[in-house]
Amino acid sequence: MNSKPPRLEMLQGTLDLLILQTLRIGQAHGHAIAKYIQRTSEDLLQVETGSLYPALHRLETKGWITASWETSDKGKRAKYYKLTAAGRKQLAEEHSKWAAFARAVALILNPANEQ
Amino acid sequence: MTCLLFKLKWFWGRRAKEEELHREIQFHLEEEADQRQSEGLTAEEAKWAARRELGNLLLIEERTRETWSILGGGEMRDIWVDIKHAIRMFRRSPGFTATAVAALALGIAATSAIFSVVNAAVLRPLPVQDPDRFVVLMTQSVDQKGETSASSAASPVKYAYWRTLSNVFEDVSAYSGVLMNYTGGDAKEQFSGLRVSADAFRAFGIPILRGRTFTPEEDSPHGPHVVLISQEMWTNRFLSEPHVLGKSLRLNGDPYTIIGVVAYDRAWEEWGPAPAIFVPFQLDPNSNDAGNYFSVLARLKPGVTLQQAQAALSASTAQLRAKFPAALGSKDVFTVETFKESLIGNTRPLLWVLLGAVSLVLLIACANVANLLLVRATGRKREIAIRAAIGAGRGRVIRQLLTESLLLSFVGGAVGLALGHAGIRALLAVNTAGMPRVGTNGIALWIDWRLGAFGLAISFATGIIFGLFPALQSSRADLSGALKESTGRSGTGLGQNKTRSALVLSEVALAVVLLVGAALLVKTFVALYAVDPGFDTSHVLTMRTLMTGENYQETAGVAQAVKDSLERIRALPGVLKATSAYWVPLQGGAGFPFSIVGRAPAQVLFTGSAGWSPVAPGFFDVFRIPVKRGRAFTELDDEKATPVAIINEAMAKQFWKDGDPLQDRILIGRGINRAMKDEPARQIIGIAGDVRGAALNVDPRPTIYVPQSQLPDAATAFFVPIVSISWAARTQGDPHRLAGAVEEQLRQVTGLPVTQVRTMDEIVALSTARQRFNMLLMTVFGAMALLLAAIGIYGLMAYSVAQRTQEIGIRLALGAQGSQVRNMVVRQGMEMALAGIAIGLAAAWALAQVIQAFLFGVKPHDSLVFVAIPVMLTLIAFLAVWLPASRAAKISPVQSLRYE
Repeated sequence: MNSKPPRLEMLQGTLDLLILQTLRIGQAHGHAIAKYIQRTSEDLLQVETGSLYPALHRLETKGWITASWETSDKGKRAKYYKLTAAGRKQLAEEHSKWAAFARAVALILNPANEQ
Repeated sequence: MTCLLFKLKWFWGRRAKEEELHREIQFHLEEEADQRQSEGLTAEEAKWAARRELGNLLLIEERTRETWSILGGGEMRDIWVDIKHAIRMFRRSPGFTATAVAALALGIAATSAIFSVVNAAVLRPLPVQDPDRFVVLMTQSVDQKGETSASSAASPVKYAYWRTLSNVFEDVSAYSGVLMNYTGGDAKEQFSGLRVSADAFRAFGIPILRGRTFTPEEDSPHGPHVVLISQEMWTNRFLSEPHVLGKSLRLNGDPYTIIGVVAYDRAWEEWGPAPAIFVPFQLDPNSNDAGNYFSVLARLKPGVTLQQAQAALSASTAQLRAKFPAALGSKDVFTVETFKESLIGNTRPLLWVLLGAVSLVLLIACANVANLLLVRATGRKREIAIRAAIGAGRGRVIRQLLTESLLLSFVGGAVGLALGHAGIRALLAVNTAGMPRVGTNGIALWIDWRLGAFGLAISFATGIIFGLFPALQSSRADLSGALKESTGRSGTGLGQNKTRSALVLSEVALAVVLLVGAALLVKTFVALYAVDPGFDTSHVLTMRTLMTGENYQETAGVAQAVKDSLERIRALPGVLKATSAYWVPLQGGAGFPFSIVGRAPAQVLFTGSAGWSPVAPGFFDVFRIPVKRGRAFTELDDEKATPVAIINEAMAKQFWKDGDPLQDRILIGRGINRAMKDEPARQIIGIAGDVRGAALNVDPRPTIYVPQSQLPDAATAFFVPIVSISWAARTQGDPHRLAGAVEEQLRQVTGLPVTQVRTMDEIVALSTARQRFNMLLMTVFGAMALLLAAIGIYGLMAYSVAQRTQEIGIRLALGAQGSQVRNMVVRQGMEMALAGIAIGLAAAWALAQVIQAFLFGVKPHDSLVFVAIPVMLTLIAFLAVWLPASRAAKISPVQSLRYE
């Protein structure tokens, strides 16, 4: 445990964005999504399973992602999630919102960088 | 929407979904374990690590499941659980469930029955375009008592005048019902249809299937004989022949060219049987005919309000009066109202009263069910306390209890709605009671969205009304107290019995109000039949013939046919007397203004107005109307003899305050229209007894009888094609037995179809249909109320006795007599019942005025009713109290102390 770097608390709603972003590359099952986020964030972000599945099902209910049972590369049946057109649109929206938010926070934290 | 459907699908496929979720999480676990293993852990270690990593498996599944429900927080599932729980509870107590559902179904059936009629008559839009602009033009007059009344009867003079008001009205159209004899086929028959002016098709929006409507030329006086036929006639009689247009149909002896087919429209069923034929009215725009014998409808011009139209009608009628002095009475004014209002105006107060009455029935039913729920709630105290103890909030408990009551009310509502709708249709099939817009035998009471919405709303409202109070009360459970009770039996405090007594008390009070109303209407009906109609209704057979054809254009021809027919009818065995008249009592009539010859002419044109009844000899014998002075008509009063008339006592009293009518001559309707243009002065030869000829509850009006055979030809030519002549025979024994024989004689003599074969008793029954309808409905509602209230009293007392078994046992053990115990229970029950009766009487006293308009021969505060109803209720209440009371007296002290 101690060997791992300190983890960051995820902001509310961020997980949805990260899931959508992850699925942009292609379809994936829950575990793969979690590992991808963890790996890509250099282990800074840890996806709690307790948040992951409710989030996946919520996104599915909203129609942003769809799910289908398929065989994984190891030959097991797994539930794969895929981005829908609506999800793609939502992702774009969330993405720009996040970018704006990040820029705003950055501006406040680093006033010197102001152009 | 799709999202909702998606969710619903999810909701129903829940079990499969849960399994799937479980598998998904399992896969996650395995995947995690695999990964750990590849990082160097043993299989066992990897599995545990993965498990640890995952956390609370159940919690994850739970939180994931929550995202599925519509409300997002598992509420939908809770409601489902509540419903399942409620169904389980009801299954466990079928007696309670059946009683509650039955009470609710009764209440809702009564309510939806009346609502069905209100919906058809008042709420449903008229099946015409722009119903708000569809108006009827009327004349408002003031009678001798100073009461105003509006009549839609219109004359050609009025019609022509209204057509000039083109700045406010368009498509001003004349119409009247018409009967025509069809003599072209093998069987003689009669068609009923409409006589309409050319614009009527557009004004009414009558849809045309084939051909065309009347041209203005065809609608002119002496225009050609043309006819539009109904789709039904086209289908059945002409077998949908495509070339029907241009064919000829023989009506009233003349060939009529078919120029069009009127399309069938189900919505029109509300007017009654669809007209089979439409013929042009052919009114003369320059006529000076002031006789009122049809109706006029019009459309308001776009942008014109009813008020503006009324203002235009109220503007000076001086010109009209100057040109046609007989057209308008001195105090008459023109008015306008929407066609819909003219249809339902008179019925509306009745409908509101009935709706009020059924609301009371429903309230009683609610009180009853609320009481049942309160009883159950005491039994469920522990269950509710346990729920509260393991964390259910008060809101949660209330919600569960309300779910139960709503489930009850929706089941009761569904049963009640079906029952009420079928019930009212069955009732209207027997007696439509002149209800507007319900169609023949009530077939136009359709189930529509309004009725459906009403059913939902009333079910929801009743569920809340009877459920909320018990729910609030039982959710306020005293936790430790309820849990400590070993049985839950003695959990009912005084307070709750008070509530229940109050409910039963109000049931009794409401029942009193309804029963007083019912009793007043029953008395009205009895009074109607007790009133002396002035003629003998029993053993009289009547039927009618529309006298059409070449032979019946003049008085002599009609008189000869009448004479021949009556001779044959009188010769039939079983016929005692026979006569003919334009109208028999209670079946319509006409009236004319008249003047007395030789009286100093007043400012007004006529001395007064009176009913007018052309009759054949024997009329007064057949109906046993006494001729008080002078003599009756005989065969000798024919066209060659001195013109004579007989007046009734009411007329003699009103117009001959001094002087002898038998010395005077009268002139009837002189100059009012073409029918009466040749009317001679008639010698009054007799005074007949008064007859209630308009309705049994209407005082006899002045009436003039004239011999049919002495009518001027113009009058015969005018009336005979539009008024079917009535035949009446006094028979020995059942009049029905002679119907066939009399009909046959008439057919042989006249060669025309015979219609409306009825006994006089049946005509009386038809004329009292509305009162019978009122009485029947209110009696049914009153009986329901009585039954529900009796059940309420009995239920409360029986429960209270059962509850007090131990107490009563102790009393008996300590030496109380059985009769003392019984009297104690009776006293307590009767105190409550009598209080309810007293309150009910006060309310009924205050409300009785509401139904005054529907009463006849009984005052709203009729003392007999206000004594009999409380006495009856007291007796019923006593019975309902006596049964549990005597059971209490028989309680064995030994057993009762063991009683748990």
